[in-house]
Order: sequence, then structure tokens, then C-alpha cells
Amino acid sequence: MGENLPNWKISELYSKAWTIVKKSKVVWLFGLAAAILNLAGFDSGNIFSSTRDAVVNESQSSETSETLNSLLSSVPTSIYVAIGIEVILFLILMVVIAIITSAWAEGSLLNTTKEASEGKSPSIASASMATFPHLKPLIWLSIVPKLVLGLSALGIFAALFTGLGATSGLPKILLAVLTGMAVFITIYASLLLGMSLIWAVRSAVFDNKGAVAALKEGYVLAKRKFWRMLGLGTLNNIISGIVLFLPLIPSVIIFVLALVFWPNLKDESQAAATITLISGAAILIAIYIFLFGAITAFKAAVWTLAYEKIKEKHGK
Amino acid sequence: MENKTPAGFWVRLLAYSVDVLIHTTLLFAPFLLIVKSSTMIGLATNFMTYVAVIVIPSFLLLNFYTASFTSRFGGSIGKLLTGLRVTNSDGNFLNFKYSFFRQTVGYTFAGLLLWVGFLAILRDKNKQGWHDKAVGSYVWKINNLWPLGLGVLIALIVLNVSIAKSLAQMAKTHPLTPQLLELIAESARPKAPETNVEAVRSISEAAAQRREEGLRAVEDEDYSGAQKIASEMIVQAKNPSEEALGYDLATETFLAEGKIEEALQTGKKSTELSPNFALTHLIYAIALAANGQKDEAESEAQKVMILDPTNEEYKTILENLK
Repeated sequence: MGENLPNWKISELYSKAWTIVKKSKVVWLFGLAAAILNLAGFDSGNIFSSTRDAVVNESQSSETSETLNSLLSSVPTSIYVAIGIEVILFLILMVVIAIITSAWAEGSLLNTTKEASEGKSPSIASASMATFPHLKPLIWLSIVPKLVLGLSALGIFAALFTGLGATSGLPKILLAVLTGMAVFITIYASLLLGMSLIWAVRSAVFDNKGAVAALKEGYVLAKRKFWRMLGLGTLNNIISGIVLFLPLIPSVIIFVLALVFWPNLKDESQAAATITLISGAAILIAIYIFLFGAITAFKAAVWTLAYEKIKEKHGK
Repeated sequence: MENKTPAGFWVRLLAYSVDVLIHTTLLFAPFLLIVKSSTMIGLATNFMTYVAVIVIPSFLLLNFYTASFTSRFGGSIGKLLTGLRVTNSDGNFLNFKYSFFRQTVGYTFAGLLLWVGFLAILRDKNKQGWHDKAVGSYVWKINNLWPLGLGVLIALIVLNVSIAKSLAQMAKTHPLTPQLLELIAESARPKAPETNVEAVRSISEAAAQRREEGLRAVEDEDYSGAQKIASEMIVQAKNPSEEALGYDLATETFLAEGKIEEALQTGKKSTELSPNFALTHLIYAIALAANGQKDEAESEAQKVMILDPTNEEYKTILENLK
């Protein structure tokens, strides 16, 4: 990979990606699946709901809590142990299924964008079947590199902070400088890893590479195209931000108007306004579902086209 | 499988419903044993054992059972009973891996957009849902067994309804039911405010206005009107302090009517509902004083002093008691 890699034209990528998303419902569908399944994976907001439940439980009278506690403490411990093990097994199973689902959705999305970019008409069956042979590398790529980077960063920062707490004077200043550098290195490494993975998943799915080989190729490409990728990624995010923000403007205006005029409305009008607002909220959710799918598909198509552009001259 | 035809949406829904009801029966029936406990401790132990032995394992193993039945026999019990078989494009049963994938990832994918992926079976020429397309599976009708499937479905519905009826009957006559209901009601009851300020703040303007209306009715000697307002306030109360305010109005009305016994009951109830609400103690103190219970009235008036030192009325009560 010594020679110069060909560059992409953003306008060309965007125009082609837009055509792909516009023409193929399946690309959009897998875009939506990938977006939802990634969101529902590991960062779901369930922590908040469980915290809220805990607060509600606290508000029960202490007498009730005592009665319940004494009842539950009369149950043999072995039953709780069994329930605990079962719940852990259940959670592990759910996590494994979530990882497989997410990897499959991503792989299928990539295959649909590739098929569409080649002028074919992608289908669920063709995209899914083409993904199965690459599920293992996709799963590996979705977990291992981030886990290694995360754990390494955690270890380094733990050591640095321990050192900072235990030292004073010049060594402390040196460690502080090192910590500052570690922050920047971690940010850079995360960015580079994110970029490497963009190419790595495509290399695994399109070029049939194993996980490690795909990651290596992704890393080389990301290093050589770092600034161009950063530019394209930033532009992608700005555009998706704008697209996602647009439907909010009329919604906020309607909501503010409803708040202003609410007190002056008669009972019947208030009921009608409530129904209108609920319908509006449902339409907004539908619009966002559509947009999330379209944006994820669009971004995937943009990177797939960019990957093909690089590979075009560089060869496989 | 020579006379096979693609299985349509409705027969597949029937098979799925049979599977769901088998699972429901498995979850539901053991309840009959649980409710036989005659002590609360026995009930708690049985319930937790039920969760450990039946509920979690059934959900844990559900996908494995369906996947293994589909790979070994061509379908879950519901599908087999309705004469359906799941195969790949070669006509063979799916292997376990694909079957498990279809059951988990495939079903998640098909259910993503309000189950459109399942409804797709209605329009697809091969009657494939998205989960079928994802693994390249086909569902065939190899025997016209849908009447049997329907019969089993009806039998399962009847069984579940009769279990539910038996459970309801047992719950009605069970000696632990009142205790359990009390426990549930207690845990559902909103927490009383912890300070007088909190109690006052929790009272809405509407409730305060209703009380004023009630007090005007008392002044006009319209006691039935005042009691009606008090009852409405109790029923419509949104929190314990508003309910206590309704009982306070009732107490003041009873006092005006000279019904001291009733006033003592409603006054006490009010202090129990919102024990940190100064007004409730003030009115209860007046009722106690009217009944000649000086010590108790003094104790209640002192509570007013502690909860709301700015309230001057407790001083009047204390002076009158001397």
C-alpha cells in the first residue's frame, strides 16, 4: 500500500448515496434495523427507569416494607441463588442475541448498499445470506477492539491517577503531563479506531477478510485517509444533525402555541387539541423512525462508496 | 412432503397462538398449587419457587426448545399440530444454528416496525415473512390439520379460562386474600407529606376553594350541603393531605351540628392520613376539647405548635383548656 490512494469527491458520494437510499427500500429497512439495534444494545436508558422505580418504592410506608421484607426473608436462600443464576444466564443470552442481531443488521446493511451501488436490486434474503459467512468477524470487530482499547485506557488511567495521588513535587508534575498526554492519545486512538472499524467491517464483508486482517487493513486505510475521513465524518454528522433537527422546529412551534392558547380554549376545544397533539406526536415519531433509517442507510452508503472508490484503483 | 403448499398468514398465526397458549398454560397452571398455601410465608416461598422453577426457565429455554424442535421435527408443537413444516430452500429442516437465528434475530427483525415483517407473509408470493427471508426458510402446509390446531387452540383457551376462574374463586375464599389486598393497598397508597409546609403545598387551589365553600355552607347551617362537599373532597382527593382536608371539613360540620362522636372519628382519621399537617391536629384538638378530653386535646394542640409555630390558634385552644 505504498502508492497514493485515490480520493473521493464528497458531492459524488452524496449524490450516489442519496440515489441508493431513495431507490431501495431494503437499504432503508436495514438502516433502521442497524440504528435501532445499536441503540437498544448496551447503552439503553433502562438504568433511569430502574432508578425511578427505586424512588417510588422508597415512598411506601415503612410498615409495608417491613412486612414485605420479613416475608421475602423467610424464603430459603437457595431459591434466591437459583433465581440469581437464572437471571444472569438470561441476561447473557439476551446480550449474545443482541450482539449477533446488531452484527447481522450491520452486515446486511453493508451488503444492501453494495448491491445497490452495483445497480442490483437488493433484497432481505440476498443481503442476509451474504452476511452469514462474515458474522464471526463482524461480531469480533464490534466487541474486541473497543474492549481492548477501553480496558487499556482504564488500566493506564488507573495507574496514572494512583501515581498522582501517591507522589508530590516533580514526579507529580511529570505524571500530570503524562496524564494530559494520555487523554489526547486516548481521544486520538478512539477516533482512529472508529475510523479503522468503518473500513474493517467493509473489508470483512466485501473482501472476505478475517477479523484481524480486516482490522489491520482498516487501520492502514484510516491512517492514510485520516483527515479526509475526519472531514467526511464531520460533514455526515452535521448533515444528519440538521436533518434530525428540522422536524423539531414545527413541532416546537405547535407545542408553544398550544401552551399559549390552552387556557383560553373551551373544554371541547381542549379535548380536540389534545387529540391533535397526540396525533402530531405519533406522526413525529413515525417521521423520526423514517429519518433514523434513512440517515443510517445514507451514511453506510457514503462510506461503502468511499471504500469502493479507494479499492477501485488500489485493487483488492 | 409431496403435497406441500406454502403456509399462509392465518394458519401460521393459528400455530403461533397454540404455542403461546401452551406456554401460558405452563405458566398459569402451577398457580393453582401456589395459592393452596395457608400462611403468608408459605405463599411467598411457593411464589419465589415458582419464579425460579417455572417462570425464568420457561423464558430462558423457549428459544432453545423452538429451535431444537424446528431443526429436529420441522416446527414447534403448534406448527406440528397444524400440519406445518419449516424447511430451507432444499426442502430439508433447518439446522439448529439457522433455526435459533430465525427464532431470535429473525423474529426481532420481523417485529421491528410494528410486526410488519410478519404481516409481509400476507403479500409475499412465497408467503415468507422477513424472518424467513433472513435465513432462507419456507413454511409449508404438508397436512390440512388446521381443524386440529383450531381444536387444540379452543381447548387451551377453555383450559386457561377455567384455570383463571378457579384461581379467582380460590382467591375470593382464601383466608390470606384480605391480608394481601391490605398489603397491596398499603404499598399503592401515596406517602403522606413529611412536613406541614409540604402538606400545605400539596393541596391544590381547587381543593382549598371547595373547603371554603364547605365552611360557608356550615356558616349558613347547610350541614348536608357541607357534608356533601366533604364527601366529594375525600373521593376526589389527589393526595393524603387533600383527603385529610375533606375529613377536616366533615369534622367541622359535625362539630357545628353537635355530633361530637362523629367529629372525633373523622378528626382522628384526618390526623392519620396526613400526620404532619398542622390543620388536622388543630381541628382534632377542637373536637377532643368539645368532648372534654383535655389531655388529649392539649397533646394535639402541642403538635400544631411543633408543626406550625406561626399558627396562633393552638394558643387559644390551650388557653381555653386551662
